[in-house]
Amino acid sequence: MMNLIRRNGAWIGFFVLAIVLTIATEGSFMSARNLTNLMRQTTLNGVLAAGMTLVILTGGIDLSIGSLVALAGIAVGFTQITLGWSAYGVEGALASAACALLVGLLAGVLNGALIARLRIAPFVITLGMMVVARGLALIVSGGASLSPMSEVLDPLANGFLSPLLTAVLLVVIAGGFARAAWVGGRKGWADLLFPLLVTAGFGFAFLTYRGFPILGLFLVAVIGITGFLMVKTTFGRSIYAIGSNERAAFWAGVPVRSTVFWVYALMGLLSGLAGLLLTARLNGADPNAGQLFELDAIAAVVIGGTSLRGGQGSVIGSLAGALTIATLNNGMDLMGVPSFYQMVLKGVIIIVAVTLDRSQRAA
Amino acid sequence: MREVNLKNVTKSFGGVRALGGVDLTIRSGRILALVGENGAGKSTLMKILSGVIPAGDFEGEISVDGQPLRFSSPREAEAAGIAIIHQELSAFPSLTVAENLFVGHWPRKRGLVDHDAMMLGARRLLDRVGAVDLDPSVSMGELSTGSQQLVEIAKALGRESRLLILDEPTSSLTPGESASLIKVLRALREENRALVYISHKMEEIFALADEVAVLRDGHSVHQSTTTAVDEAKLVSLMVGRPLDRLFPEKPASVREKSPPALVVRHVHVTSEGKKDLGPLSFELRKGEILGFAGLLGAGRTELFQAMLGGGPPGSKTSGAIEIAGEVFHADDPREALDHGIAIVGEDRKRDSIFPQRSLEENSAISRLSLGSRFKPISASYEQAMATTSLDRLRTRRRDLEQPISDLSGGNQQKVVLARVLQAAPEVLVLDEPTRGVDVGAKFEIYQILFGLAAEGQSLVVISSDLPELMALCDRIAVIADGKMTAMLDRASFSQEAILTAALTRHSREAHA
Repeated sequence: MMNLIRRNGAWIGFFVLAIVLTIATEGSFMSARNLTNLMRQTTLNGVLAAGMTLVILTGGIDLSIGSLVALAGIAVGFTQITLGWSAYGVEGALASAACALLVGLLAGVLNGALIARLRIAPFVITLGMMVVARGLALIVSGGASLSPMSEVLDPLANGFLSPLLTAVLLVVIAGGFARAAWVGGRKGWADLLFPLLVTAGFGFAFLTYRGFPILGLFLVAVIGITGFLMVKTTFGRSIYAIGSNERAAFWAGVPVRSTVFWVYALMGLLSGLAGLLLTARLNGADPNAGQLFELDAIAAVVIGGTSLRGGQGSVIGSLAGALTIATLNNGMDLMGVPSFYQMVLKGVIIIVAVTLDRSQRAA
Repeated sequence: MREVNLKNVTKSFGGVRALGGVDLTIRSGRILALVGENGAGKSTLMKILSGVIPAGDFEGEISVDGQPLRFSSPREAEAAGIAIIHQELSAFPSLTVAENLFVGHWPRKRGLVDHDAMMLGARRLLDRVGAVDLDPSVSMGELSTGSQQLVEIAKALGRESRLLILDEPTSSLTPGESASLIKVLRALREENRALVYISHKMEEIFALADEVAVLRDGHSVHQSTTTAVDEAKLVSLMVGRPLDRLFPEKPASVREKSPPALVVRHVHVTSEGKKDLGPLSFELRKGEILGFAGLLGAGRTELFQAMLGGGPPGSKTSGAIEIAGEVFHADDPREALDHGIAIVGEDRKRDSIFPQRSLEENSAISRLSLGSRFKPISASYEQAMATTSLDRLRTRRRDLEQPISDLSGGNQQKVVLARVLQAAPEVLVLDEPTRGVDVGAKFEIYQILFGLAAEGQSLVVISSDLPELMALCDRIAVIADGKMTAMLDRASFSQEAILTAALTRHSREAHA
């Protein structure tokens, strides 16, 4: 029982927070509409936190992702509006989306190549990339927002799956959980109890409201894929090994350089995806978007129980972290807490959450 | 200070009793060897003596010349003249040797650190421990473990410590260095200091110590003069049962008939600003155990690391390495593994283990690295592989999910061996395979190595423990200054022959 609590600190924290907010808002937090909103608010940070989990597990950090989100968004805006691809409807939108992903991937590849080849601290490389990418976003956009976007992009942000598809998807997700739990044995079931409960809660909300939000679909897919990579592939084992003891990983035959390279490349790709989704949601591309996104992602990862020194943690924990942060924002909005106060409270809660988690671990 | 007495010292961690009543007498001008298997309570006892565990957190009494002694911090213990030289070195790798020697006790001039006085003082201290060639201005991290150990001892001398506790000081020293260290320790005894010497090496204990005390399962079971016991008696006191030999019987060798598994021709390692290593040529037969002896810094480890694609930064490796008829050049250890050669590093904590990760993950990583990166791993297959390989090496564990850092040194080493064996290399290079491993586990590891050789596994063993090499190996190659100076057959094994070869080039250079 103590172990169960220890390993699931982030999820339990999220539940406590959700219950407190439900009481404080007299139930409106738990409404189907609000839970649907919450899922959509979690998506961007959740997608970034998934990638950041891998980065931090290698013992690294990526500070450039906020700028990459903006640059990828500008790639959509530039192609859609300045180049006029919006005239080509779905094909044009797909091409723009591809550009956003490509821009993110390229920046990530550059980060990864510099870090893995030159052995320079990730903090320094990605700090440089953060400034460069922001500058490029401002240059390409001329410093101004590009809007509005083609209507084709709208469903990405505001669309919902039909009830039937929603039900099918929920069954698939639950099946995935059950399979993962089955493989993990008794410990597996215990560890997936909370994610399963959350899925059930959100699922019920989606079914009674408007269906599964398409935005949330991306979150589920990204968490599923990165989680699978970490738990079920040699790539994931290599990431843990490198973060735990890079020298030992090298001598054990782990391809250290190429693993590190791909981790940053993937982080770039996910930043590109986040940039695309953000642009769709804002219906415009802003070169100043995404500021401090890297810090929210890092906070989600750390709240989720991943060690900043690397080698220990999980993607599913980071999902709990991202949900917690989104819940904080959402709940304080519902309660009408002024945004300046929200910042202070959020910072305090991050520190408290991580302190509690660490003391639990040490016990 | 004439005598330090410990009476009925008892300490529990949570519900686990680490010490259950220890009596010990440490006398000035004497060297007391403290022996016991890992987990017998030696390190807890040292923590109590050095104030890491403050007075009040344990029961029992410590007194100096009849006066009770209570430390509430390591600083107080240091001020009282007690110094510990830890097995896990507590150096600051980015500071210079001189800075390490004087850290916290800086010589000052007008409120600033007096650099010249510090360098002079450092020189003097290093000379006292026989490290005359050691430059006090290089950074600690550039030194080998053995040289760092000498610096740590010099540091204790600088603190004018009356009681020195040395935790396996020679575990990473070569015979030559051990000999000079032992000289230093004898000189300290002449100065009427008290020395506690923790060691697993029987020879050293009998050569050096005046008295010997044995801990077993947290109890002091024996203290007497060294002359009152012999090796067999001591070992049986440590393990609590008679253990007739330190080494298992070496099975009959098959190497004469078997084909070569590894052929090394003219391997040469060159790097900017460092002495060249090599050229090195030798053959290793299938099922053979080939030892590599030499002084610390002779370049044994570096030569093999370079052959496996992990030489010092900026170094170049030339020459030919051939396994099973295929000549290859490895750019990193992963490529070397692909070609059938794996290495287990000398420092388990630094080179081998992933401390937070599970036994299963720790044991599987090399084999998995040989396969496809994104192919799904089968949990049941992994569990079966881990169970089989760990059982084969008789690794004591709770379950496969527990982190490797939970295990004792010997069992950690077995997990690391299981890792390389899962990758099934033609040739396995083991660098100091029994360092920091207790007597019982050493015996088991020797048995494992003999078993592997009998199954046709070719092994290279690099070790500074000569009795170990002589018991294990079919042949011993001796390296001095990066070059092979002897290749001895079992018939011609002797400590003298090995040491003579290990010193060859040094003496030649001295004459030139």
